[in-house]
Amino acid sequence: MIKKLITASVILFLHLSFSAQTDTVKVKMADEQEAEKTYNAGLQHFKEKNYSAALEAFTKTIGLKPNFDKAFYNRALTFIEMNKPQEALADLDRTISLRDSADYAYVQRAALEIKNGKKDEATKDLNKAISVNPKNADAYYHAGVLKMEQTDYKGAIELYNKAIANKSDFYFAYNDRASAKKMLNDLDGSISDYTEAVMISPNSAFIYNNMGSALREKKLYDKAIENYTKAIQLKADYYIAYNNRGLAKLEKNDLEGAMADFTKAAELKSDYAFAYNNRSSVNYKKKNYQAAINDCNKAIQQNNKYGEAYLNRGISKEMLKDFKGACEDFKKAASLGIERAKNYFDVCE
Amino acid sequence: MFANKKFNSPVMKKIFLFLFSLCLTSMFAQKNVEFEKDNFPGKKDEFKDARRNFKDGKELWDKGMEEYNFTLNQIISEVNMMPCSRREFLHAGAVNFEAAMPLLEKAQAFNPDNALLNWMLGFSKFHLKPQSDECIKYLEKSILLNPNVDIQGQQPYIMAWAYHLHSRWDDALKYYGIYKIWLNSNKGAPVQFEDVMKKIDECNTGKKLMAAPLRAFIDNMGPHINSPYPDYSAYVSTDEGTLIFTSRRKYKENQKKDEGDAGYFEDLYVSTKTNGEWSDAKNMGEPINEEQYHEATAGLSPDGTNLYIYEHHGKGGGDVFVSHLNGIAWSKPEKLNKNINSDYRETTVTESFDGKTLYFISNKPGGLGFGDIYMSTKDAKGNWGPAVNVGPPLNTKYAEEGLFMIPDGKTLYFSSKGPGSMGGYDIFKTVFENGKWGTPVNLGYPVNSPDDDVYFAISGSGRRGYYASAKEGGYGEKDIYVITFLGPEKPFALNGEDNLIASAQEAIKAKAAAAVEIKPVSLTILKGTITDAFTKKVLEASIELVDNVKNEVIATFKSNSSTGKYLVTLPSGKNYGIAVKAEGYLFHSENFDIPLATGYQEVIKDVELKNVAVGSIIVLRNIFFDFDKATLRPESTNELERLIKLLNDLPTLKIEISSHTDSKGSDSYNMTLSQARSESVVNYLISHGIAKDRLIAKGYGETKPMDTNDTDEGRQNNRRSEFKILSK
Repeated sequence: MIKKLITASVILFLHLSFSAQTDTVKVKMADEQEAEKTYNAGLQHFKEKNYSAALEAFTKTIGLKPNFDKAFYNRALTFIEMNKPQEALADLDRTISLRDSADYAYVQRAALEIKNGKKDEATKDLNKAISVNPKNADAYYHAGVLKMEQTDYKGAIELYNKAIANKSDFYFAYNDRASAKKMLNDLDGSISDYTEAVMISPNSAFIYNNMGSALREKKLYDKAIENYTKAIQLKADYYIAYNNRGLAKLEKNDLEGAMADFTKAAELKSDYAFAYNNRSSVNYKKKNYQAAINDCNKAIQQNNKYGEAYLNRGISKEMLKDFKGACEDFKKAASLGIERAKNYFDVCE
Repeated sequence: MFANKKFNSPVMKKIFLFLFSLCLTSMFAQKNVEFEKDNFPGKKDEFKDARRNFKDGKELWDKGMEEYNFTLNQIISEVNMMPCSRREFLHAGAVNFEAAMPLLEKAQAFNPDNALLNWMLGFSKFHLKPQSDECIKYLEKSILLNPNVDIQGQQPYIMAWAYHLHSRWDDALKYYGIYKIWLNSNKGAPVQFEDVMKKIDECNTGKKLMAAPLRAFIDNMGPHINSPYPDYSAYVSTDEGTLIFTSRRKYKENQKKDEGDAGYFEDLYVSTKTNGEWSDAKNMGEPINEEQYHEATAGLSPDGTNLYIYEHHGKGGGDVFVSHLNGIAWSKPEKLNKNINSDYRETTVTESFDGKTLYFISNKPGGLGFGDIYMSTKDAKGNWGPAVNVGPPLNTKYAEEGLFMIPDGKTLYFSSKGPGSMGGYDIFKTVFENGKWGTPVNLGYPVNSPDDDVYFAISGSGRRGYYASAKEGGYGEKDIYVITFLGPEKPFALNGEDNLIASAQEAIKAKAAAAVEIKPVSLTILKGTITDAFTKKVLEASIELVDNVKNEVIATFKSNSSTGKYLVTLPSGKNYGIAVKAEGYLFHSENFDIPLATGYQEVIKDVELKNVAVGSIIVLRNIFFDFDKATLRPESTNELERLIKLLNDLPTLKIEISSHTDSKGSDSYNMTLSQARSESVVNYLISHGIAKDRLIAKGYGETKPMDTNDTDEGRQNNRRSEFKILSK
């Protein structure tokens, strides 16, 4: 078969040569072939996660063959891996302009658009991807993410269902569906989906963290702590999980444990205002009001619009009989949207 | 009433055996040591002194007890109930108890293990200073040594009450329980049962309230306000700018004292707040205070301009007076009219914010209990109209006292000894809504305590309250405290976050587009220019390309007439023959290999054609022989066919076919081989119809090299067939 093709091409070119006799024949033929060679090499580099080499190869490919849609697509993926979304977007645009039916390119573009907050564009791209390929699980998934961002959790769940129906091991979709269920207070459903997600992807720390929070909300603090611990084991610098575990320990009135976790979270991320704010509550419970104020100060230092930290500082100041300071903090907290602070204005009397 | 009550029934003895066993659980070895000389061998003189102190002290104590019981019975006969708080008969027998104490303490130092002595000391300390827990150890010891030492069963009762006043609820409940058993077995009076049941209720209430304390700061108002003497009954204006209270302090030399209790007369004191600081409290002087009388605060209007004063001059139970603030001077107090004051005791008043309603306390007959809340409204002339008892649920059969209404006109704070108290007076709050007073709510601990909590004034905001307390740690006796209500616990706002969206954590690994198949095109371009060998002019020539292996013509084409160029694409890895001919020129023939290539390659083959002129020699490159033989190989056919065609095209042409070798081999051998090969060609031509006389075969061996014989390439060029034009 291949031999036949070769013969055919030879005859074709013979024919061309008789009529045209142009030297350009040589150039055109060579570039295309070179392009394919470098494309395949680029792909190999990509698979081996050697992204700079992949980028070089795909760029060379595109130089040799400017209408090579797959090269643009693969270079876009390479740019995504290299965290160069703008370059990736440009290549996806080219991919789509060269091949209108590239559903995978629409999906990738939508994912980047979601990150850029361009929801309308993303929706359009995902609709297009789904119309081209109604079994594109990734497209349903990203459409679900968009619904999540619009707080349409029921809508999100429907889309995640479709994603899972088309890709049964799609742990992203399980995780997100669990999150949507959590937002709808379906804690059992949420925990069940998170469990499914970790079974598929047992090394994804964030899923254990999320499950921990669902369990915490269900007041199953010991189990929550187990899951946060697992998340931390998988990702030693997971300050979010430390902070959350601290909250679970606080619920159990394990003040020392909570203190240690909040401190660790702050060590891992020195500008993590949540950790300082939460630690202030431990100090407050230990009646160490000045330390609580110091923690709130640190939280506010990181984020001077942190209403909760002002509220908590006000509560602590009241206990030190600094009613004026407490009053100022409650007013500041209220101005930052902490409605509850308005109930505390009697301290201003 | 209860004096000399004997308890000698068998049931009672059993009960006390029970009580006794209860108390001996931890100190079984304790033994009651009577003041008998045999118990103190070798301490004759000390014993004598101790026994004398004991006897003298007991004598005084008995007198005190007699007065105490007299007062108690008097109260009971007056109100038909037991006193609810110690303060109702605080001074009963006080002088004698005070006098007995030093003697009893001396005796105690000698013999600490006498049940009666411990009881007398415990009781005296409890009665004189109930806020101190000093009494408890004596009372406990007296019970341990002999629970029957007081024949009226007062040991468990006083023990319980002492625990009660110190909020030791479970201990109090235990001893009230024991006392109740004693009453059962000794046919206790109904008032006694009522009393112990009420106190049990109070303990249960106290236990509950203390388990959920109010969040509040309680601060002593400090030395600007308080003194080592009793300071109490504080009233504050709505703006908390003025504080007026009662004090029995010493404020000048030769100040007169009340002979009844040897304390200074009550006077009113005032302090004002500037920049958040209270000024030193000042005796309000005349006309508010009179040196030889008691004057006490009874109320203050919300704006602080109407001061109500309680005075007890001569007959009656005491009345309420009012003084108005005119500028900076207070007017001479005027007695409120008879709708308010009666022959009985009127104490505290509170005005509504609009000044049109007055609530006051009176113990006049016709009420529900011993001290009730009444209400009066101002008539058209500005006089207080007839008073109305506000009734239940505010008034109870027990005493109410200490009114304070906040400026919302519907929230009333007052003290009551009635149900819901944790002991003595407690402060309650009630709100007038839908035409009636709501159920009073105990303000809770720590505002209220097991002792009397009364005269509670509250700021307009409700954030702070002012009250008096004799708690430990003050400046002496009762002090005025400010309580700052913190409200319910303010929960901290905590923050956590999750990574709810997976794709925000990890990128979904997109599959890269697949590899493409690289087409293994082994393509060669053969190109070149055809020119006149002599003039170098470009020529349009016919070109024939032959696949020598397959021995077939694969293409015939022409070079460009204006450029002489040609270009053809060929598969690589083959041997090709090319023949070029042009009108009037000798044709050119060439043989070449195109090496196998996977990609693209170019082969340039420029050809120069020679004019057909006599003497021209044309090399026949595409005539091949078997090695070392003269046998023509089949690949030679095309070249030979072209030669035949040339000869046929030019029928007059005569040629010499020559064959040449390289220098390898001997000259003669080469000469012979070349001759044979040239003849083979001639024979081939003859056999294909060419006249024999047009052809001459000639072998030159190695004699006419056209290239070097030192290289392979040169030698290959030298191995050749040629034809030479002999004639046209």
